[in-house]
Amino acid sequence: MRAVSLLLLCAACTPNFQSASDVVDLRVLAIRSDPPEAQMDLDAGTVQDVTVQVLVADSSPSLSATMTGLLCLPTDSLTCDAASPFKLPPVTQPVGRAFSYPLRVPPDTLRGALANDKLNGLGGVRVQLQINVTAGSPAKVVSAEKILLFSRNDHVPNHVPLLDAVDVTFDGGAPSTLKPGETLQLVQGKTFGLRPRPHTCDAGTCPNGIESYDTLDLSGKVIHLTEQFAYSFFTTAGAELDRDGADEPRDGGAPPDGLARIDSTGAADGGTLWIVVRDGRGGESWITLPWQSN
Amino acid sequence: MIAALLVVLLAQGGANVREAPPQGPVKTPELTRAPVLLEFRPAVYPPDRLERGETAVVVCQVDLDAQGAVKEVAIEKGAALDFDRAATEAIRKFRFSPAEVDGRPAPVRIRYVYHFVLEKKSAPKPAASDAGVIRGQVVEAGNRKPIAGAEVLEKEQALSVATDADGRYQLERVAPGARVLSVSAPGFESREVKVSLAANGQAQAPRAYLHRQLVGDLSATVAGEKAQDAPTRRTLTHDELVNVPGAFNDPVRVVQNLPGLARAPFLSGALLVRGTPPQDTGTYLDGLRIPLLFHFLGGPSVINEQLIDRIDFYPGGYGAYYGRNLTSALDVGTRKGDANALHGSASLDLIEAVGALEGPISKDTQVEIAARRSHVDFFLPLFIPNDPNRGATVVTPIYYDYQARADHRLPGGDALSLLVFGSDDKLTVIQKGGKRTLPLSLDTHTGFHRALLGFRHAVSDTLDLTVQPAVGWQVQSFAVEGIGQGAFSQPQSANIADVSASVRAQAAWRPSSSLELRAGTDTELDRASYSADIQSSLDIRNLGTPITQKTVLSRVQPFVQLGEYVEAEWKAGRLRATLGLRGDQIHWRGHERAAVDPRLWARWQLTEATALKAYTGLYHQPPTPLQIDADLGNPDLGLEGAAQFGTGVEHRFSDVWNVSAEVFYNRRFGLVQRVDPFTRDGAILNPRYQNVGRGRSYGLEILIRREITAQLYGWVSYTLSKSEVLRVPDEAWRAFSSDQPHILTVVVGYRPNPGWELSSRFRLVSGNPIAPVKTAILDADTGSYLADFGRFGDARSPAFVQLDGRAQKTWTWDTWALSLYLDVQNLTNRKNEEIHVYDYRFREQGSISGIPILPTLGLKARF
Repeated sequence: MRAVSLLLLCAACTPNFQSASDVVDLRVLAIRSDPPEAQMDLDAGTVQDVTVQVLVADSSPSLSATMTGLLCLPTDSLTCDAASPFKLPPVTQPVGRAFSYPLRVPPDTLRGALANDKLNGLGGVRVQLQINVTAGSPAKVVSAEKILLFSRNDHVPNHVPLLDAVDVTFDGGAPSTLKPGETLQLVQGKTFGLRPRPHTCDAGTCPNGIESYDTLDLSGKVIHLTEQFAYSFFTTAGAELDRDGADEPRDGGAPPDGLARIDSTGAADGGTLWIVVRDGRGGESWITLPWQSN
Repeated sequence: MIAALLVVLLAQGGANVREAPPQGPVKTPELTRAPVLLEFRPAVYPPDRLERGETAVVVCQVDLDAQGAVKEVAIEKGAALDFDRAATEAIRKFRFSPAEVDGRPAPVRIRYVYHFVLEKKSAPKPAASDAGVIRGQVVEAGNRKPIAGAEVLEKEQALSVATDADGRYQLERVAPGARVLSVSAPGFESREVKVSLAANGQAQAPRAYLHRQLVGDLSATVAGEKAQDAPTRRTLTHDELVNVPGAFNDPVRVVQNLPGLARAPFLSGALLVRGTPPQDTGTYLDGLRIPLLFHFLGGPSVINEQLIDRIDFYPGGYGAYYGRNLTSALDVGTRKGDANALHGSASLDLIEAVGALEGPISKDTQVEIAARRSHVDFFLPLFIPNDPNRGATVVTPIYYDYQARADHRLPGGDALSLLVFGSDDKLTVIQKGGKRTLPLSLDTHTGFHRALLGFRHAVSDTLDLTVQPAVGWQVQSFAVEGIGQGAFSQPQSANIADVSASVRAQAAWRPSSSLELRAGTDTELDRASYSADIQSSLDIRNLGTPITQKTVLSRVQPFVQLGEYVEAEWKAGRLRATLGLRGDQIHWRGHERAAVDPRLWARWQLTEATALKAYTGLYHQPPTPLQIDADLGNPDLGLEGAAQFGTGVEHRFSDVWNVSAEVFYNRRFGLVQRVDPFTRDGAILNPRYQNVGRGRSYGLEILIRREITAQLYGWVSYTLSKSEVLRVPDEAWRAFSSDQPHILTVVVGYRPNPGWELSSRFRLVSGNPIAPVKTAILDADTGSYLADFGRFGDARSPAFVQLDGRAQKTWTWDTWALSLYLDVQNLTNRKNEEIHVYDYRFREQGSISGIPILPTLGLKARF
C-alpha cells in the first residue's frame, strides 16, 4: 500500500536513457525476409529462394556503410560463429538506400538444421541469419539477427505484413493519409498522431492484413491462432516520438490521437520517420516517410 | 524510617530478542499469579548516609524459586556501594508467596526497587472505637493497569499499606473524617486521594492514577526452563519492537533485522532466509499455517500489532513440530485479552485506521478483537492527475483485516481458546476515455479467513495434551484487459477458491526430570477450485518468435497433507539433546509423495554463561499448486528437499549483554525448475517443470544484543553468507537472486523519559548480484535487443546503506494516552540501487533507486 504512495513519489525513478525511437547513430532497425515462410521439399531437394532486405538507419543518410552476413544453425547467443562457412558478400552503399541479399539456402543446410533441432522440425526448419553493418571512422559495427523459416508445402504459408499508408491526425481531428515516400509536415509546438494502415489481403481474407493460421502446440494439438501486429516507430533527430512501439488494436480501432504521437523539436528542418510492422511469426516490413518542420 | 516497595507488573513482554531459552511452540508460558511479599526485612541504613540525610533508590533483579524463596539478587541500577550492599542483604531475607505460571508454582524473576528514605514523623493513632476502613485501587495512568506494591499512606495517623497484585488495598483503623491518602510507587509520581470516612464506617476511595516517572516496565519474567523446540529460535515480543524504525508499528517487519535474513527490495516484507526464496519459509499464526503474512504493495502484516504477543523465528535446523518448509519457519503468537478491565486502542495515519478492544466478559473468559482498514482509496483520487490524453483513471486499493480471540479457563486448569481472523486485499484500476490510450482495466482480489480452536488439557503433572482444529477459506482472483503486449492485452481472468481444514494435536509426556517425549500430528486438507481464461506464451528459441495462445481451464484440485512427528528431549547434566522424526504424506490428484525427515540437535552448557549447540536435519516441501497443475505445470513433480547443518555458541556477558554466533550449511535438492521442451525417442516432451534444481547456502550469523533496560536497548546483527543455485544440470552454479554476502544491521532505542522514545536503525548490505552484459544484438523478429549475459553473480549492484529514525511522543492522562510518532526511512535520502537497468540496446547502464526519504506520521490512542 505504501508502494502506491511511492509510485507517486517515484514516477521519475527510471534513468533517462536514450529512447529506442531516436535514431542518433548507426542502427539496424528491421530485417525483412520475403517470403517470411519459404517452401521446401527436402525429398525432392528443392528450396524456395528468399530475399532479405535490411533497414539500416543513421542520423546522416549519406553515411557509407558496409553490410555482411552469416548463416548458421540457431544459437542461444543469437550470434553466428565467425567461422561459419555461409558468409554473405559485403555490400557497400549509403545507409539511405535499401540493403538486400538474394538467398538460396542449400537443401543440405536445411537437413543439417533439422538434424540439430531438438524439436525435430516442429513448425518448420529454422536457419539463423546474422547481419553486421560497419560504417564511420573509427569503424562502428552494429549487428542484428533473424530466423529464416522453411516449411513443407502442406499449408498456407505466412505472408509479409505490409503498410499501405499512415493516417496523420491533429488533436483528434479528421486524418490525412500519407503514402510511402510522401512528406509529413510537422509544426513546432503541435503534436500529430500516427496511425499505420496495414495492407488488406486480396479478396479481403485478412482484414487489416492480419492472418489466421493453424499450427501445432507442444502437446501436438492443432491450435488456431491469429496474428498480432506490433509497430515500432523511429525518427531522426529534430522530431520526437512519445513511444517506441504499439500493438494493432484487436478491433481495428485506435485512440483519437493515433497509436503514436510525433512532435517537432525544432532542432532540424527535416528528417525521416520509419514505422516497422511485425506480424508476430517472422513477417516484417516498414514504411518510410520523410518529414519537414517549420 | 525505611519504606520499601515491591513492584510486580504483569507485563506482556520483556526482552525483545532472545536466543535462549526457547519456549513451547504452541503456547507461551503465562504468569497466572504474581508473587506477593510475605515477610519484609528492613535494610540497615548506612549510618553516615543517615546522618547526612542522604536518600537512595536501588533497583534489583530478584530470582525466586518455585516456593517463593529468594535465590539470587542482582543490582540492576545501583546507588552507591553501601546502599547496594544493604539492599541486597535485606532482600535476601525476604520471603514471597509462590508465583504461578500456567496455574502451577514456578520460578520467576522480579524487579524490586528498594527506597532508602528518611523517617516520617508519626501522629497519634485514633481510638479503636470509631475507626473505619478505606478501600481503593491504584492503577497506572494511561492504561489503568493495576500497580502492585504501591504504598498508600494516611499521613495524619501514619497508617500505610501496600497494594496487592490487583492494585487493591484496604486501610484499616482509620480515624473518621476527611482523610487524605498519599499514594506512591517507585517509578511513578506520587498522588493524593481525598476520601471521607464516617465513624465505624467503610469508604471507597477514588481510584488513584499514578503517572509513570521512570521509563521501563518493572516486569516479572518467567525464567524457568522450557521445552526446547529448536536449537535456534529468535523471539521478538511486542512491546518495544513496534518502535523500531522502518517497521511502521509492525513487529512482524522487525524480523527482517535479524541475522540470516537478506534485505528485501523496496518496502517488501519478503522473508529471504539463509539465501532461499520466500516460499521456502513457512508462516504461521499460533501454529496454523497462513497463506500470506503481509497486505499487498508493501502493506502491513495481516495481524494487528495489538494482538501480537511474540514472534518466534526459526532460521533453520528447527524441530519436527514444523514441516513442509525447506528452510525456516516464522510463528506469530497472539495474546489473551486483558483479564482485569476493558482496554482499547485506535490509531490513524495517512494509509489506514486500526482499532482494538480487549477485556474480560466473565471471571474465566476474556476476549480481544481488532480490525484494520485502509482508507487511502478515499483520497488517492485527489492525487491522480486528470490527464485527457491518458483518460480518466480510477485506482481503488482497499485492504482490511480482523482478528478476534476468546480465552476461557476450564475447571481443573484446562484452557479453551478460539481465534478467528481474516484478511482481504482488493485493487481495481480503470482507465478509459483517453485521447492517446486504449481503455484498460485491472481487478485483483486476495482474501482468506480462518477459525482456529485451541484446547489444552493437563492429564497429569507429567502429561499435557493440545488439540488445534481449524477451518478456512481463501480466494484469489484477477481480471485484466488492455494490460500487456500483444495477445496479453486481451481479457484474461482467473479464480482460485480454496476450502481448507486442518488439525494439529500434540501430547507431551515427561516421564522423568531428564526426559520429555512429544508426539503429534499436523494435517491439512485443501479443496481448491480453479478456473482460468488466460493467454499463455510459448517462448522457445527453436520455435522462432513467441506464440501466444488462449488457455481455458476449470477444475477441482484436492490437496491432502498428512504429517506426524515424535521428539525425545533428553537431558543429562550439562548436555541436552533432542532427536525428532517427522513423516509427511502428500496427495494430489492421482499422485502420492512421502518423506521421512530425521532431525537432531544438541546443546552443551559449558558454563552458566556459555553454551554450545549443533544440529542437523532433513526437510521437505511440496511443489506449489500451480507447479502441479495439469495444464500449466507438471503433476508428476516430486518433493523438494534440503539437508541442514549448523553449529554455534551463545554467551551471556551480563544480564543485559549477550552474543550468539552460528555457522550453517544448507544443501537443497530436487528443486522445481522451469525446463524447455525436448524430444525423447522422437516424441516431443514439454513437462514445463522438473525437480532438477539444486541449491547451497552457507554462512555465519552473529547477534550481539543489549536486552531492554529502563532506557536503552538494541542489537547488532551481522551475517556473512553465500547462496548459489544450479537451475538445471547442464548449467553452471550461479548466485541466488538475493545473495547478499554481508548484512549488517544496527538497531538502537533510547527512552529518556516516559514521554519520549527515540530509535534508529542503520543497515549496510552488499548489493544484489547481477549479470554483466558481454554483447547485445537486435532480434529482428521481435524488434528488441537480446543480451548475451555473463554468469549471474559475476557483478553486483552497489552496497545498500540506509539510516532510519523514529521519534515518538506520548501524552498521558488518567484514563488514556495519546502517542504521536514520526518514522523517517532513509534519513539521508541516499539513492540505493534496487534494480539494475540497461537502455534498449544494453549500451548504457543505470539504477532504479529504492525509496527516497520517506516520513510517516501517525497517531495512536489507547485506554
